Amino acid sequence: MMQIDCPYCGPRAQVEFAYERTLDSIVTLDMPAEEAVSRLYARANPRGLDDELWRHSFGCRQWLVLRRHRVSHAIVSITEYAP
Amino acid sequence: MAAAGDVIALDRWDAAPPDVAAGTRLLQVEPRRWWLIGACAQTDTLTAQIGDTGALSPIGGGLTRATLTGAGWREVLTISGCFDVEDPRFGVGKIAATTLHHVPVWIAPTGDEMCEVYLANSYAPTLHELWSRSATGQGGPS
Amino acid sequence: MSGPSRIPGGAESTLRFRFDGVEYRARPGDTLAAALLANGVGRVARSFKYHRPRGVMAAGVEEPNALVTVGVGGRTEPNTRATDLYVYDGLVAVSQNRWPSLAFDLGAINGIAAPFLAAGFYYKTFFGPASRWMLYEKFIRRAAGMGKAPTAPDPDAYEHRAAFCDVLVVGGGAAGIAAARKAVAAGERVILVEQQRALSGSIEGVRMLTRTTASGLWDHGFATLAERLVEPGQTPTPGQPAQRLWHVRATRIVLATGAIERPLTFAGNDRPGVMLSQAVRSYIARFDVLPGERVVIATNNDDAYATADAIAAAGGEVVAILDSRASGPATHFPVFTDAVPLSTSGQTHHLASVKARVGAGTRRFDADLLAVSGGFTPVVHLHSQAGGKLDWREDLQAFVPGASPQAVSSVGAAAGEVPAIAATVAVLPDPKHSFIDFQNDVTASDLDLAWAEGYRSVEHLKRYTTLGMATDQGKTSNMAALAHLASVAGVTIPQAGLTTFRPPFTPLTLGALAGADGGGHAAPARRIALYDRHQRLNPLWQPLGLWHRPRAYPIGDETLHAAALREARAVRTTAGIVDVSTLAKFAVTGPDAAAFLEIVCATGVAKLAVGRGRYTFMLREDGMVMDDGTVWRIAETRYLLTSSTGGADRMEAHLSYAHHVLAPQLKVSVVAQQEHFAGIALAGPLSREILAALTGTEMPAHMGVAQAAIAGVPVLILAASYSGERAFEIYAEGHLAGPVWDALEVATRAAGGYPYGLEALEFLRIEKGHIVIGAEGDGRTTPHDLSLEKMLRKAGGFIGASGLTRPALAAADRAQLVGLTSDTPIPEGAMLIAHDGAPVEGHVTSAAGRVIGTGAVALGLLGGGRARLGDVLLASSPTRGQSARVTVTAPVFYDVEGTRYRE
Repeated sequence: MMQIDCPYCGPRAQVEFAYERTLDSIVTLDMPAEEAVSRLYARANPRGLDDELWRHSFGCRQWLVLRRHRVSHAIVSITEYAP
Repeated sequence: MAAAGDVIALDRWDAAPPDVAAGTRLLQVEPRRWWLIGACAQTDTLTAQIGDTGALSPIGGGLTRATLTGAGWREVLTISGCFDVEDPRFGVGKIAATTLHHVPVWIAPTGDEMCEVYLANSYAPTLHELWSRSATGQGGPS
Repeated sequence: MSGPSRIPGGAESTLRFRFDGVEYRARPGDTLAAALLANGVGRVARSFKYHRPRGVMAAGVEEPNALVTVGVGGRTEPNTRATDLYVYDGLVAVSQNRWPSLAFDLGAINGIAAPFLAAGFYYKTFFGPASRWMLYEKFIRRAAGMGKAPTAPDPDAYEHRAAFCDVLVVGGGAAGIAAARKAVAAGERVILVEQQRALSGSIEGVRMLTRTTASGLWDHGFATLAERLVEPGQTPTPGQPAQRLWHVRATRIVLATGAIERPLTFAGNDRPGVMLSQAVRSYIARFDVLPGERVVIATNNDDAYATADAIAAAGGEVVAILDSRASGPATHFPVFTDAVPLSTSGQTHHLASVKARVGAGTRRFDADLLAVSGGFTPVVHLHSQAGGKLDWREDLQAFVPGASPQAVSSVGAAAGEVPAIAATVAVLPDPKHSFIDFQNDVTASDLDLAWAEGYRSVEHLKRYTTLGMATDQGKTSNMAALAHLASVAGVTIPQAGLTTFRPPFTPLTLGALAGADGGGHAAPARRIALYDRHQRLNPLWQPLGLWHRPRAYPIGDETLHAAALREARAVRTTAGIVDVSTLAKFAVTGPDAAAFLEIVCATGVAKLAVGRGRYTFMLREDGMVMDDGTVWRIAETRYLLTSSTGGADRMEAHLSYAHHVLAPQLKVSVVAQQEHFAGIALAGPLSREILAALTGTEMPAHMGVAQAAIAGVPVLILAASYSGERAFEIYAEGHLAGPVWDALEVATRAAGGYPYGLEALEFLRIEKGHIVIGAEGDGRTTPHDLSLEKMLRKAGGFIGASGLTRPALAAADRAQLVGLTSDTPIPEGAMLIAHDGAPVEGHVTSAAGRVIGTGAVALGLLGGGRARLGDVLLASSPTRGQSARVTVTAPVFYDVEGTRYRE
């Protein structure tokens, strides 16, 4: 189980968090349909570092960006999500 | 365990802490959210004071407050938990949102030998039973 | 006579225990293995496949042979290592893999039939005709079982605990204590874990967990520790758990897990009386037990010479030291160099003799015990579980911990501080009786056979031969196997490879993994605010997610169906009340509240007048209907949004995502009020009069809002109908709602109505054609599929608007919501087909009988359904053996115009 160092709450157990999606699969409200579909269904899935959107669902309920290695689980950085 | 009753959630767009009357407890549960405890009587004043900088929404009808007394409260809260409740820096004035036995809770120490746990009413029997079953010999819900 | 015995003197044997029905005595602190040896019991088990007699080989958790079943009833624990079980008064243990008894075991004839059970036997039986497997199966299951699992439920409690520290030290030997002391001196929070009851030294200022096994090491310094508060089979102190599983997060971890001694490979190396050299020393030092009186020692290293000293000091005779090397350290015992054991002969509880090759010749020694040392394997399990690399040490013929991606370090023997050995390739004259893996009865010839049949990868070899499997996971056997494989393959051991180390380090009780989640506690049950009110009426409860809600309130011996029909008819003719407290509710407040709601809701919101509400639904980004509910404008900038019970948590996350990720510029506050408000719906033609009388207030028209008080409790009244009758949802603060229910119940009953449950609610809403998320809204249906497209906001701008423009979503043959009618009951979930054997065209999503009148109605999803009104189809459920002729209709069967709830 990973430990995620929440910028608001400090280091917390992974069970308090929910993975949402990768940053590159966020579909904004004004995005054309083709781009939305491409972001949802044809995104990259790198074997390595990726930027992920998580929520501290059972902590401060805030949205965080984790730069995380998807093989080693190493978390390079955690920041508050800012669009 | 008892109904928390008088609890209002206050959201502020700019995250600035509100100015409340004496006797009202203020718990910051999220970067832009506070719980006002014992402030129902001031709702009109607060609403006027806050204006368009935020919003008040009552939540106390759905919250249960469990009060744990005794030096063993920290140990009790390590059971089926995942938060470092035994860290001495986690003391009076702090509040931590976490989960206990799969139940979302807010833990607020109120003294060396006392703490409050807030949870949704529906989970109260589950946690009450967990704490009753755990025979650490110290602490316990009241 | 000779064999194992207690060294005279010492503490009294005050504990009584039974092994295979015979009562023995033990000293406090004895393991079962030590106590059996002290009582002269050298043969304690039969082996897994061949049922060969086996004794105690080790003194720790690595023991492969001496497995027993301990305890009675639900506390029975099979496959317990006798070396990892402290005797308590009244302990009851039995040996395994024997029938009818350990002494006379019919299964031992498998030894004669051994060729049948060679490597890959199981797999090979799959290839012949099926009848062959059928024939062998019973035989295999009978013969190749370990202990039997108990059938009675486990009566004990288990507990999960969270703990945090700067340093977790695993192992309470000298190296572990030294590491812990250093950390304490530096002011760090330390947890020290030891498998045995006591540490080998003293230390203060740490959280000490004895009788605790570090079972798994996971990501980011997370460790799981299994603590035994009582021994296997022992009754816990009342109110105390039997075991605790600690969830520890450590900043860094020090592994002082020691090393495991390796046996030597020769014929009959598995007999009672063949024991690891350091285990012999342990039994003498820890338990005053001398495992044999005339001892031969076989070694490839210097360490075993210390065993000779210990045996002599305890009064035993060292018959010979067989050293495979050209020379060993100076000693006064008879040493034979270039000497290795070849075979053994034995008696019931000990050896009789050891035959050895000494130089070019052979010699036989009379001995009751053979102490063996084939070198030392550092315990790298946890290091490896945590992702650490392993380095090969030629001088040790062992893997030692290498670099770790985590803050994990190893010290002492675990780090490779163990005696060097001489690597020798043993020539085995009798490989069929030379055991590599004792627990799984894998011999050197099994490995040769697997190799001959083409198994090259060590992972394949493991699965084919079962080497390194089962409860000991090859703790004593893996290195011998790798050495054998490497020599056969003509490669080095690192080239031969290594199988993966996986948690748990030693077997875990399933109860420990479940913790407090056992039995009815597998998930927390959520209790509704009005639980006591319902319970008084003795309802049938229906689980719904984590909730339990009343399904119906039978009177007397009414069936569920009869009760629900009575309740539903009351709603159609007089009135009924139903608990709708579990609906999701959100206060959406602020200057941008309407703008926010128009992002989430696919329907119009901004034009809603204050004091009015309307039906709404929300889409996922792909355009599929995600949830539905109602939205109410309570004040200029204050809305109340409701949505389904089942989707409440998902909706909370969705609203947060929409606000914080998609539209953070909006000045809006979204607060979940699911439990703040308990909700009661009052429905039926008399509902308006009942409510007006109770509140003294005129009730609003359909989709209007009112504030009032019932029984002195402030309530929010929303005029919404789910049943198709005039209806009001009445919301009161959760902890105040009891008197509101009471007043409504009394008034409703006085008007000839009843409380109603989910079953009646279903009858009513199906007849009315209202969809349910999870049935009709199954995650694959668009607003158009559900005939909701007219409500879509033309301007767009909501989540899912662009997803909806995908061309395939406009296809005419999509599954679309239809009504179905029949004279006979329609099976829910049935497929819709033209006739038996025809392709599936859709399915029944919800079905019920008509509330008033006869016949059945149902909702379904049918390909191109909206254009198929009047078609006759078969609703067929082959799994239930039910079917019905159905006619396709519009999805509404009652009051199509909606006059019953409007003015």
